[in-house]
Amino acid sequence: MPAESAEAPVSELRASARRVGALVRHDFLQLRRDPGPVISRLLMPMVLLVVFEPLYRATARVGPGGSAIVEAAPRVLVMFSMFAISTVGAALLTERTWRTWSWLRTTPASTGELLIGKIVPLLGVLLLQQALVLGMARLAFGLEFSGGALVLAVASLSWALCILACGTLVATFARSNNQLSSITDVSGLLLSSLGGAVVPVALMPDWLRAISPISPAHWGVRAFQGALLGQPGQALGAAAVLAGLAVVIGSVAGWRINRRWGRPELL
Amino acid sequence: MLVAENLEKRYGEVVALDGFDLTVAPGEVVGLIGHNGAGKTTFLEVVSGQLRPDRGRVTVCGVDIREQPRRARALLGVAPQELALYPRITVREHLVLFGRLAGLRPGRLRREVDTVAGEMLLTELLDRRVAELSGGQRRRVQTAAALVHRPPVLLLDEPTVGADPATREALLAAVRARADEGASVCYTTHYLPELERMRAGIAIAIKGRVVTRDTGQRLLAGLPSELRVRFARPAAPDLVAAGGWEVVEDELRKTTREPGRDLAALVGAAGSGELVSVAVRPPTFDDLYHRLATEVSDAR
Repeated sequence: MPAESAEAPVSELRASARRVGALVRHDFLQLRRDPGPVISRLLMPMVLLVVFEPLYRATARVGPGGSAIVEAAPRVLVMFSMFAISTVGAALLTERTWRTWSWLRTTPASTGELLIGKIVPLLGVLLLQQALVLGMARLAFGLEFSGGALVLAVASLSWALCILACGTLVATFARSNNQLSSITDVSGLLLSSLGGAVVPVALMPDWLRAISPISPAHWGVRAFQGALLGQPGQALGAAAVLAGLAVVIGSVAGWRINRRWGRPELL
Repeated sequence: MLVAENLEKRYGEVVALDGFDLTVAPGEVVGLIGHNGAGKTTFLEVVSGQLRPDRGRVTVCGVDIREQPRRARALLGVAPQELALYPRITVREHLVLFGRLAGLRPGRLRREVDTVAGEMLLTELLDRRVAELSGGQRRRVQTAAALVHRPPVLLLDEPTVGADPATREALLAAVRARADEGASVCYTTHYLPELERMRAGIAIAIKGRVVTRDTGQRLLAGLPSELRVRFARPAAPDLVAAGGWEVVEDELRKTTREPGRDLAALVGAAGSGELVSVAVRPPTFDDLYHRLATEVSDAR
């Protein structure tokens, strides 16, 4: 007679932590086995930073206490994070097209645990991307972290969580990888531009400047620039907006996922 | 022990489950058969917590799937109908993932992975990525992942579709072995000999409910056989009509509970000198299914 449960009982919290651990390990493994998209997301912003820094120096659009690299680094970072929404979305959508999401839901793992298992490795990738861009900006161009490491960490984390929420939401609407790419390419470019990640908001026409705050990129750039320029009020205010967006967007995504999103036959 | 009582599930106007009852006792394999749309897969999705029923109750070893879904799912091993594997992950990594999600600790997990790999003829393939495997090998991986934590209730949805004979044999033997250890197994299939091979009971689902449940032998016992007779020359039309025979190409056919008596009457009237061949086709589950489907339609 098989045992009724697999092992001796453990507390629900510990059991949940074990399941999440198993899922995180599994998703890291998947990223490791198909590293191409992640490597390109990590390398491209560093390459573009080399191009952008002289551009900002030449246009001399540098604010008080700033430098060309303070202008360039947050923008490159935010723009490439926006493109990483496709990586997040693809990771989830693939689970659906491979039908593995439905199968995993037959295990004791809850939807929340499955999502955390998917999101933690991607959060790691996003934070690594930010660390590489900022680290290179510091080493190659002398970027100073005037606001301190803690404020920068808060800005980084809130921005990464907002990107994860956006990617999760997009995955709940896309019905194929092509559709996902179309949505994220267009929206990534539009929202980056609108938010001032390509061209500074100050250079935009009045009407664009007025609607710029609807883009998460606007708050991402503000959070990072505040952290780098030693303006913690600006950085933490923008980080709070990003965290709020992450909660709202993430809640909508979670609601959609719980409404039978994973069923592949509904694609 | 799996108990489903009076399950109902609708998708708009479509009724997928309509008072679906099924009990699978420990040590029992129940073959759930029925045509596409009979409600088999919907039933398995309700039991495995993927779908919420509109009405009714499911318990897994006494645990209500709605009240304690996570605890109930921990008692299940599920192999879905469609292949659902990660192409870049190895066979061992799949088994480890499902074992860990079920709560197996490292020592036992290693033992169970080795055991189930042996049962499913996967030992040599453990460190191969799924993308490198054939369809039949992938099918075995999927079933092995359902078995790895030795769940007391197994739900296997057409696990042998597209499988080669070796895969099918290994899978049936492993499933029967788990039932012999005390697991309750609910198994859907269109290949009925598999159910005989596993000494399975049979539940027939039609239009969202189980209409009959018994052993295969008993279900077929009351059904008529088909008698096929061929003569050297076409039989006289009045003879055919009088006996209730049907002419199919150059053969006379009759569905009858008394093939011996009908054959004797026919030969007596036509003469045995003209007789070329006689065959009796025993009743099949398709015959049973058609008869039950007609009865259900007539009753509604």
